Amino acid sequence: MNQENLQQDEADIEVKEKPKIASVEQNKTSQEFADEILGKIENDFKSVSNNREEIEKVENSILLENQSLKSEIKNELDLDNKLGTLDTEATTAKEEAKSTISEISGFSKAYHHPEYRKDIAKQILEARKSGENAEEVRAKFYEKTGGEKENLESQEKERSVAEIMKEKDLVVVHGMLMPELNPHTLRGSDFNNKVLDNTRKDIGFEDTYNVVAGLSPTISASIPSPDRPNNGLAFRHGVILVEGQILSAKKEDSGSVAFGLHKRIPKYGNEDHKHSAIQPNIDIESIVPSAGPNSSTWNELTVEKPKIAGLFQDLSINNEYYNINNPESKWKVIFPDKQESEILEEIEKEKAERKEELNRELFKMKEYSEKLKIPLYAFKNEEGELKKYKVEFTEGKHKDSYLKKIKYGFTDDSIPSEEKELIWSYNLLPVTALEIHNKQTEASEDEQNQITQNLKDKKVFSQNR
Amino acid sequence: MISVMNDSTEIKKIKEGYYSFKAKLGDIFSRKKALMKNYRSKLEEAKIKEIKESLNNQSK
Repeated sequence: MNQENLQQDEADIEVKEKPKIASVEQNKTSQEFADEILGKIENDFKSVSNNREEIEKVENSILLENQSLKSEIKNELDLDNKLGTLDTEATTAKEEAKSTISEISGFSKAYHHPEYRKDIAKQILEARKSGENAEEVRAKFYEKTGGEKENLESQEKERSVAEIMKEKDLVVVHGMLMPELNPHTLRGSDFNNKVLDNTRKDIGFEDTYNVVAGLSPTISASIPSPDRPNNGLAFRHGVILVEGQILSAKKEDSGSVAFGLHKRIPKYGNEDHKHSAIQPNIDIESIVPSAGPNSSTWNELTVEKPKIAGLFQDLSINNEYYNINNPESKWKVIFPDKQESEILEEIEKEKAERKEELNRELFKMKEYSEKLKIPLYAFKNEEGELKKYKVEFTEGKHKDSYLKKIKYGFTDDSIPSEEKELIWSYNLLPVTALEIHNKQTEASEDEQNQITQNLKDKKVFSQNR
Repeated sequence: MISVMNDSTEIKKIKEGYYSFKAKLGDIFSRKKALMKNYRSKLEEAKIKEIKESLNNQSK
């Protein structure tokens, strides 16, 4: 069939198929529409590739006495070969259409570096101008993209946050700043983030939580480990994820950069996949332990479509840091003129301050946990192991004075956390990652909409979103 | 096609891809149908021949 006829056929088919496609298209995003069309392509393909059934139908309607005649006629017509060739043609047409539509529907748009996409478009344009084979450039791009897509799909289990929790007792966390308590902390989570409005200093823990819970952006995350400084946590608090697909997993900080809400590409350690957000092969267990004394403090994962299991607070106290006899300890250096007993006093003072700081953060997390209606967990580095706990608060010894304050018009928010510490005490109940996974609570559609509305009202997004 | 597109442009391109596939598949289907038609007529010819031969044998 020549090109002209095929184009005419396409036009005829467009007229014939238009009403059917219109009903498929209704109220759908391009991604949903593409998924439906991909399903249609599979069904259409099946309807023309049923050779055996067709042959049997013909043969059963004309029964010959001499059975060998059938084979002779088939051979004479070269029927099996010709049908086989047509099937191959149909398979090729199907694969081409699927790969084109998959590309159009956003695989490249979702995962490829913008510069790479520009470069491919430029190569195709230049090949067209110079009379070279532009289709070959395009075909190579589709082939490579198809391979990347297959690769991602083949590692579904290895890349699943839920599976990692269930199978390996590991948690994937997204550390979040709490400028409410630590106003001078660098806004680290904004580095490489072109989505949040970095000029806004009033974007706090709850806003960051709402962005993750309400919009499920592709985020950076890490798997804490007891052998890393600060347990491999960028911040002492944040969220534990319960679902999501891991696109890349590096043993060190990969400096991932967000190119929009749903695209985040590592900057370092990606020599074999600089053009893409997807690391070809990931091996979770190998990235958890520290890479050695000179390595960066945390590992870095990028996770798409994350869902939150709960909040976390790290309550670890690094006892080695407060050990005066530790050869790496700073104490004798910073207090060269003091007696050991005086230095010990200083150490105790600083340790107490640290405990107070952690408690203040924990009580702030209690408030968020209650407000956001999600569980609160704690981590503690104990005997070289990072233990996970569910935090449960109980009434403390100063409950009566607290109730009196409430009676006289104090609100819960207006009572300082140091006082709350006396009002409430807490229990730490050991939990596994599987138990955290199983306790997840799903936000209702109304709650999700409310979260999104709050974000819009507060205008937390930059123009680069 | 590789440059960033909005949803309506993408949907248009998806439709074009689908119509093009349907045209190719339609062509393949017609060629398959022609092949099967040919096979059927050859089988029919052979059947007629068999019937004729059987009638001839009976008349002998």
